[in-house]
Amino acid sequence: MRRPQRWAVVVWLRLLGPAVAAAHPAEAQDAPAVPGPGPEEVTTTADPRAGWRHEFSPAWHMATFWSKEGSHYTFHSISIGYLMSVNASGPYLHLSWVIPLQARQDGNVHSVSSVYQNAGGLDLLLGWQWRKTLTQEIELEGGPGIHMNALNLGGKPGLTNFNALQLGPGGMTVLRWRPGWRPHKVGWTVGAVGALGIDLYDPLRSNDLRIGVTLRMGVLLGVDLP
Amino acid sequence: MRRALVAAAALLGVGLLACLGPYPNVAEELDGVDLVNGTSYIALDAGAARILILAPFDGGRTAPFTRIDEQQPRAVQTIQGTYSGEATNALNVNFSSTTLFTLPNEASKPVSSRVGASRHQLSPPMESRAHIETSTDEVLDLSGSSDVAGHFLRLLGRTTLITGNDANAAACAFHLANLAVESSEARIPGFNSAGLTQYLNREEPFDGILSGTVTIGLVGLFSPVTTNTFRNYADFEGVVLDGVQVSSTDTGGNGSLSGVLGFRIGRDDLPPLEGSVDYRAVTLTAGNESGNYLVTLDGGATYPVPTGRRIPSLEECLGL
Repeated sequence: MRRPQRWAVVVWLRLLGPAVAAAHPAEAQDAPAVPGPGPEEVTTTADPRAGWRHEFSPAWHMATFWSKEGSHYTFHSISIGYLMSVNASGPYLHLSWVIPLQARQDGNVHSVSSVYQNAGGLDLLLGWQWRKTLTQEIELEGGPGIHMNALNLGGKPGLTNFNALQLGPGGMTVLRWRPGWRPHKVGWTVGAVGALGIDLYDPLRSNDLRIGVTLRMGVLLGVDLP
Repeated sequence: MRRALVAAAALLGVGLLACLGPYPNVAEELDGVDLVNGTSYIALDAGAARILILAPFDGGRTAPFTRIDEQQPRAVQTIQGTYSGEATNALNVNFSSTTLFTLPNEASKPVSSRVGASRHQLSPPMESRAHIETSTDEVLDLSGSSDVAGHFLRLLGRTTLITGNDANAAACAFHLANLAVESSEARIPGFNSAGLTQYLNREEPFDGILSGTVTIGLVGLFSPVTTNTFRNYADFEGVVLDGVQVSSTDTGGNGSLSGVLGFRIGRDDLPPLEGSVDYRAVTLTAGNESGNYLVTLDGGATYPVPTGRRIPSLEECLGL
């Protein structure tokens, strides 16, 4: 295996430097230059909000919407989500696979499995978040974003498909508890998440959408990467 | 998992490329037609055909009816419901329509912007009042509401004018058979639009108003091949279809037709006129047909019948 050239190492360090600084801004600001602190002090003074968080989130997902043709639809689902956010202030992503269980229209209630096959959907919330530390171990995260809710329910033989692609503004909030246990410097978190989307446009359905509300509430289990 | 991924890809692709029209109802049946077994009449107005199917009362005071309006280029509107005579004056008839099927003329729109065929439940029912001006074995004159009025002639009596197996007879037989083909298309939700993607990798049968079925299936999302298979299919008296019509296009509706569709034209006191139409010489551009239908009547030669306006007209074919 060839050894890396000196110039390549220099370039790599130059490129990596800003990225590391961006991922650890609080650490960089808090660390005094001289004299250097001990390892224990770094751990206690580092901003726990720094770095990347990756979380797994099972949740209840409800999409209720009104069509311009005058019908009211509601789909209750479970969702399996991946949540990601960066730093005390930074971008976030909530991406959920939605499994519809119950479909309602104008007072009629249907079990999804009785009328549809291959039912599924995607819920995407993408935005900017801010985090506030409430106590040493508890923090609150929230922020606005743009929301997309896509549903596709393939009808059983003889029945129509139902699908939708709804877009609009949204937002989310996360209450997170971070116990002090950090094996291998990896922080573990548990918490709860709530997200709301106000959908106003459906390009798939000739914009038959009058307004839609998507609500997702669940728990989360995640890791904080340094 | 694979089917779910295909469905997700289909949804994303369709979402990016097309619209599917308004939301459907949850758990809505694809085939919403009522079977109406009765006498079929036809009226023509400047090339537009109006077919009225009236089921007998069978001792009751109401009976089912179907009215099919077909205009050129392809545009179909079908209503179904019940009709009844007034208690005080049996010559006044009330038609109460509960279901509307439409296939609008969207020839000028790109396929991705078309709404296609759709079905609507009319609630409350649409009421149309008519007066019987003439009623004989062959003629039914209805005045009153424009939804049902017309100078109707019994269809099986008019098809007797189509005889022989020359080019003229072949064209007339085709035009009559094509009324049934277009009528069937209006009852397949999403037909002539991106809404056909709901039939991806599935086959769905739709009943004829009188008998038989037409089954639609779609294979391939980005190079869709749509197959309509007719089996003993009849929407009205006088035309029975058996065979397949296949369209192979790109997502813009550019491609061609293929397949062979057999037809049987029923005629009073004459043996049925049998033949077939071969679609291989029909080209599709943005979903619109051009070229020729290759029509053969049993025992005769094959004649090209151009797409577009009917030549000869149905008025000439049926002596109306």
